[in-house]
Amino acid sequence: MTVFDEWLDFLPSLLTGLGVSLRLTGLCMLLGLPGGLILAIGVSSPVRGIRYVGLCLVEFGRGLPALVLLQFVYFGLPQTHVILSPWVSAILALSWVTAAYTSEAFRGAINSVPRGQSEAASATGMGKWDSFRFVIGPQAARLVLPSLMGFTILIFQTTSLAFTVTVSELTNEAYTIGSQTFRYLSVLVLAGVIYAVIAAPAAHFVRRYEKKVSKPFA
Amino acid sequence: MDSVGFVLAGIPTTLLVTVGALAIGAVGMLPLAILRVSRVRLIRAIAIFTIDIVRGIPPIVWLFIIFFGLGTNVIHLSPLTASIVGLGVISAAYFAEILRGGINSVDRGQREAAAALGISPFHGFALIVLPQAIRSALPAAATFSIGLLKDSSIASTIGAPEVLYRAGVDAGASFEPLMSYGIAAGFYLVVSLIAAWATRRLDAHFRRAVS
Repeated sequence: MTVFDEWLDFLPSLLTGLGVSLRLTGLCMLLGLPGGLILAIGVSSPVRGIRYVGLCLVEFGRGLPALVLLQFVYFGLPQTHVILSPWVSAILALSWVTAAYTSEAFRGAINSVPRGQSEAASATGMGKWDSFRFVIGPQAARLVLPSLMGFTILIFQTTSLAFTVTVSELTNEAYTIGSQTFRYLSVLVLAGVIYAVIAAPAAHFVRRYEKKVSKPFA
Repeated sequence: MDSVGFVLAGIPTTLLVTVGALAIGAVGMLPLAILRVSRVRLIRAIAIFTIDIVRGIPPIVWLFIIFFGLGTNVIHLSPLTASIVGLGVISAAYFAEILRGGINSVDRGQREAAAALGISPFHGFALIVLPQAIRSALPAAATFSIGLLKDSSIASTIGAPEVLYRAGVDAGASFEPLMSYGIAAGFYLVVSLIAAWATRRLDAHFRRAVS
């Protein structure tokens, strides 16, 4: 039996695992992106209390390794009688990481829109919200998009850490097959190929898009 | 109090994994970066392909391939060595990309001036372009290195006795997981905050030095 015949046998389970990985990625972006925007606004709030809470959430999310955060939530919290399923722990921890990192990207993009834009908006009688919605927001969105796409790829890879809290995603499926057949090398390389086949072209696309967007405003 | 000592005794291993991987990365980046800026399109494409594939595979899968995959019937490495090699391979790919940015940021005129002075292309690259490239790549490399220190926690999944691994062992023995994992979290938080501060200082220093 050649490696490829073997891979055909492994593929269905690994693709099921890939589905779980992709679902986890999607949910983390769905929760993490609005979270990041809220944190970005919170960190630049004039109210000191909100600013400090925002800063703490961002620093914890960025300063702690995702794996530590994940294991803290899953293994640590039950001591305080907060018992979360593996799936919920993974979503919570990875969404937190997503929110913390993307909040910095949002903040950077909002700050890089020239000041004159918001001054012009208020000069035409727009309120703060309208100015953000119609003037600052759209320009910032254009700037932030490439780094959000890059981060999505990173989170897709980071979902592999959910293996350590027994979520049956791609890495877990591969490891399980390995431990049953002792064909670790073959199945793990196949898992690696699956990750790379998704992540590498995506990274390539993001780079090209980034080059296009980084041209100055027309 | 015992837990603190037990978990933090993993710090040397955490640092060893990080520094070892950085060393492999620093050596491995050079050939990759040189191929990456080659004038021959095909060579460049091969380098890009290699870098993208290496970076496309998550660190945990790299460690599993080396530790469980190669370990089963090719070469058996200890968890510590497997972690250093795995993270080292990833570092080489990231560093190559960072160095490429540095090389491209060096003005063409520098190489032309070297050629005009009769300096060979090799010496022009090694003595004139590379030092300037490394200097401008340093902030990005520093950021990556901090990230790598955090990623070294992944070595716990194959049993390298670093901080997070010891936190897990401690949690199993003391039945106070909140404390054990909290100590590990505290360690990483302190290191990240210090590193972020140091990077800002370094960045400001270089900006002043350049201008």
